[in-house]
Amino acid sequence: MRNLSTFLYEWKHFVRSPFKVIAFLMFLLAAIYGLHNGAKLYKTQLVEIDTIKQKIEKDREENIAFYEAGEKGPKDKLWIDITKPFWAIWLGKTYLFKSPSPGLVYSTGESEQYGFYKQVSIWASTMDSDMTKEIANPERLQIGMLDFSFALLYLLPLLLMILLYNLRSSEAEENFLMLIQVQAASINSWLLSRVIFYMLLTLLSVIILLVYGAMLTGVFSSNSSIFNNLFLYSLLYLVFWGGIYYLILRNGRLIINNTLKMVGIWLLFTFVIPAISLQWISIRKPVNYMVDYIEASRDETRDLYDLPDSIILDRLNILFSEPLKGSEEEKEAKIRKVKRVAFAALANELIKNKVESIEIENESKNHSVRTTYFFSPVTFFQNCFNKVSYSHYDDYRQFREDIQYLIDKQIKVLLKDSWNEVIVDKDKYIDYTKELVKVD
Amino acid sequence: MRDIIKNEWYYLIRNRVLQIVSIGFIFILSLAVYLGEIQSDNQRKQYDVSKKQLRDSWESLDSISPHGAAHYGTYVFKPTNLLSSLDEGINSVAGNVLRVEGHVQNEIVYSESSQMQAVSKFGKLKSSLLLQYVLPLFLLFLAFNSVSSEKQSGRLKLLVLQGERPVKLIMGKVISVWLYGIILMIATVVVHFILNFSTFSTEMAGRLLFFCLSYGMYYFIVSGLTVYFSARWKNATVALTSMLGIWILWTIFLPSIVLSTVDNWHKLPSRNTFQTAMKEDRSKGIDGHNPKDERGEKLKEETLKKYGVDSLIQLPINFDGIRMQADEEYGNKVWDKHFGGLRSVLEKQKKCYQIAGTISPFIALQNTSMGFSGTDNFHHQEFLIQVEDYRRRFIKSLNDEHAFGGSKTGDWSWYAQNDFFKSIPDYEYYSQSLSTVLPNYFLDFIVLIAWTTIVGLLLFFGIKNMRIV
Amino acid sequence: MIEVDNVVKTFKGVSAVENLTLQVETGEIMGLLGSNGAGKSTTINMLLGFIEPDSGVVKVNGLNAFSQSSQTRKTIGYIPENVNLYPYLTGAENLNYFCRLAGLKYSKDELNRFLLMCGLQNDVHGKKVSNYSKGMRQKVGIAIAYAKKAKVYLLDEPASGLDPLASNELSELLKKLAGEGAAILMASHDIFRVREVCDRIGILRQGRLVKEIQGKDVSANELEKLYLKFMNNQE
Repeated sequence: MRNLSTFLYEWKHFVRSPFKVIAFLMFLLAAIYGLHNGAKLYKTQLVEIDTIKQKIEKDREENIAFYEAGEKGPKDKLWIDITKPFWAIWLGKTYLFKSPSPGLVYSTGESEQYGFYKQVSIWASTMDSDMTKEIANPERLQIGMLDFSFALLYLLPLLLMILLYNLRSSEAEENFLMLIQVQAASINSWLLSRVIFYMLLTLLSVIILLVYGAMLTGVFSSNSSIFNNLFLYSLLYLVFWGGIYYLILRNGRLIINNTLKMVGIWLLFTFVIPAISLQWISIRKPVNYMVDYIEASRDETRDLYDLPDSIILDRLNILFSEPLKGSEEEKEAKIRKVKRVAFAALANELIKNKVESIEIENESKNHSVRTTYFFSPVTFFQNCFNKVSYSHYDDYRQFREDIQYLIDKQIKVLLKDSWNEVIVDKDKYIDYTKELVKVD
Repeated sequence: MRDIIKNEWYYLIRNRVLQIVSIGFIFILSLAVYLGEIQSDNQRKQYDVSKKQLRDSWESLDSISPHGAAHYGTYVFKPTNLLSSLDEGINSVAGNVLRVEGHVQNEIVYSESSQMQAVSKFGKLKSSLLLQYVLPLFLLFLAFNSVSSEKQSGRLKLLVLQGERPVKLIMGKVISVWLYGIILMIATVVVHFILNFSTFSTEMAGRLLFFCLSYGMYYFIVSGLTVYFSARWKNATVALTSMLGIWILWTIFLPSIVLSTVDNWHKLPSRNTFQTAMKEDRSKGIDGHNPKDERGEKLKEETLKKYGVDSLIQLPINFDGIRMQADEEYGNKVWDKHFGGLRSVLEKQKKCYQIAGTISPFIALQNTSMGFSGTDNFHHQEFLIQVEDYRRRFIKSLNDEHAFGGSKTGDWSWYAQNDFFKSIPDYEYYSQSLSTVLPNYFLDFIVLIAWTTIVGLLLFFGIKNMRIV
Repeated sequence: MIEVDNVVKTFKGVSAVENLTLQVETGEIMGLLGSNGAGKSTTINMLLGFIEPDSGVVKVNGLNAFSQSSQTRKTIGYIPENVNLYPYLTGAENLNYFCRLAGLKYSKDELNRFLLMCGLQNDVHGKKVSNYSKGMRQKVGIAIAYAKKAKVYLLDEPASGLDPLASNELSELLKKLAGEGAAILMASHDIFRVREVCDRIGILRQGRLVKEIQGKDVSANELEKLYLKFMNNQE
């Protein structure tokens, strides 16, 4: 009853403190602004994907028209023959998209570090330059987009600090804490009620903001677990900061000391610890200039051209479960015809191996990052938010794996069909366009 | 005034907590410089090894057609900047590797931040992180109580009765707090100087001077404003909370909000739109690989006329090289147009961001800090332009060799020899001189000077009618 | 009722209260006179349960003031020297808040009545406390204690800084509370006010109760002389 009264009366304390009200409103504004930034990025990516899809569709219609008219391709490019698997697949333009999650409204995560669509070809690799970020102002990327997760991770603890900084200590400084002690059953539960009031006030505003964000990108209709998970993480994050601040308030009697401690802890968790962690990881594992990858994709691939046909054939037979059939003479003749694809297949293997080692190296950096979670809660929550919104490093690694899967698939299909001298007609072409974008 | 400052310093020096905090601060600042130096050094080594490895590959080229070599290409790595151990700027997000090849201008790729999951929103522990975010906050805590405590204890009344002018008293307090910040900053610079003694140059000294100047002004703004609030408000808590509010607004809210807004005002195209437009413009030029191309035909006629022959076979040179170079030059114009457009959008964004310094001097500080450390977008763009210039020279050498090296038109199997490839110089980065860099930050300096003046005037005139009791 | 039996309290070897024994019955007002550091505030803090005595017993309404402080505090009304309240709340809101902290819920009329009874006029009940004088804040403080329907009142220099009129009103109120059965202990420097209000007066010196007098037995002048005598005399 007493605690409930304290709790309810806190509203009056709050609304009569202009500084706190302004801070609260500013937080709301920043968070709404962040939600709109996230929603904008989500919609921009959708529009971009849609534009590319329309272009692909248009090109495909043109190609189908060639089949229907019995033509081999555009008249100004006589070397193209769409009845051949190579040209049919080449003109079919296989794209893989990383469709943005509606959760992007909450956390843009690392979505601005990587590309979200990729044209898959037999010469493609997951480290191609079109896998890099969209055109963006690097200074904006460095300072970071003000998205909802920024508001939550950095501004929410500040807001909570502003809301709580003078609880108990202002009464102590004004010499009426004793009076409160005489009136209230327990000073700690009185303080806790007040802290809980502000935590609930903040939580309520976070819930409203989450719902508002959900409406911007249709989170509920697509995947409500995003909302639930984000709510859970927000709650945990709030409890984490609320707990720390409560302990500071409980044990300190001076506003200035308490504020200093709160600001210090905030700086420590949001700036210093993550910055030291990043510096430490960067010293241990410096930036990779990708020389191994470059050499594989350039020098080692170039060396493949010097290989004799028999070795190429042997390597291809090792690579693919279905051996390339035919008599020795037939094989010799055919390998010359499919050489372009054969080189691509062998180069793909080379590059894939290098990419794998790069991914392993990156994963070891990620492992180091994860070890900092124990003392760097902000990093932990940041990555949780990114995971929930499917904008985490792992989501983009998965995207790269899917691309690699499609590259492998395309090479396999193309090699098999080229070897078997398949004549591509309209149906086969449509079949290609459907099958080669499927990630099983 | 000297006595006032001296007295304030007695307080700072004799306060045990402050002594510990100061030592801690100097330690962590030195550590930041040291770690920053190790990290930059590691990266530099990595850079040297990578650069050498790829140059060796290039220099080992032999018996390959010059055009084949243009497709083989080379790679340029972004070097570490002059003072990147002090302020990392955009280095971690901007990419490090640029492929240099024929027909196409590639984008810079493989940024450090794309190689791992998210760790720190505010970058690595570089001195700038502490000097920009933590130290001003510390100055704020030193200053917020400076006048109000004098008022509450009645000392201010006593001092004024002794004949001291309030303005002098207040200025003395501002200067002593400001000096504290300056000393910590100078300690950082000294550690940096010691660690970089062997490579220290007048260029670095000049940059450091402007670096320190901008920090010095910012610290004065923070110290001055806090002391002003301490003198104006009824109690110290109000002074502290209002200044904390301003700090949050300046450093956390505004930079992010302003840059996001500016990004909406001056929009950059999407990669797809950009590339489609480039492709469309490029298609209007010469197709370097298509002998039947119409524009190529025109060039052929001109070349035949120039050499006074009737057919390509009669040409003493290889027309393919000429055509490919013409294709390159057209492509260069297209690149200049489109990338020029991009750069102009980025410049507009930067200008707006610089103007936003009028509402947050922190923005101006951030700009100058990155700028004088050579890690901002201006320097990055300059690097990209330098690489593109190099690419043009590089490809022209190869095309010229193809055209005039001794082969005939259509002879794609003519190979250049190793000596030729070795003779093409490797890319060298030329860091911009201070005199070229300075105009870029003129606006930021004006903003900082304006803020410093406003705070100075506020202290001078605002204190005149300050309540002593 | 208040019972202090042979209580000793030292802080870092310095004696604050030494073998103090006193009792305040229901309906009685006792005044504690003493210079700064005589042990008045320590005694009140022990009664409030904030300080544990080194030895001896401190009881409020028969319960141990320290070990059973959560129960004893329910029956205590406390009025400090400076009643500092939330400046952004009105007098009535402050009273309401403190009552709610004590688990009491009153209507607006009741709250106004308490304030009125404690001498705070109707027209200021709705004004923010930041606009109140010290006397007005003191009256809200008394109203907080009164609204609690306390059986024991502890007052630490309650009239300090009050104008004579406000001080007089306070005296009347205390008498009224005693008349309603409250036990009141008032620590003060103000000899005249103590003499006027208190039934019994104790003089504290260096933590010891050196003299106990019936209020009605002495005039203000006599009390002053007595006080000065005890303060100046070395034992």
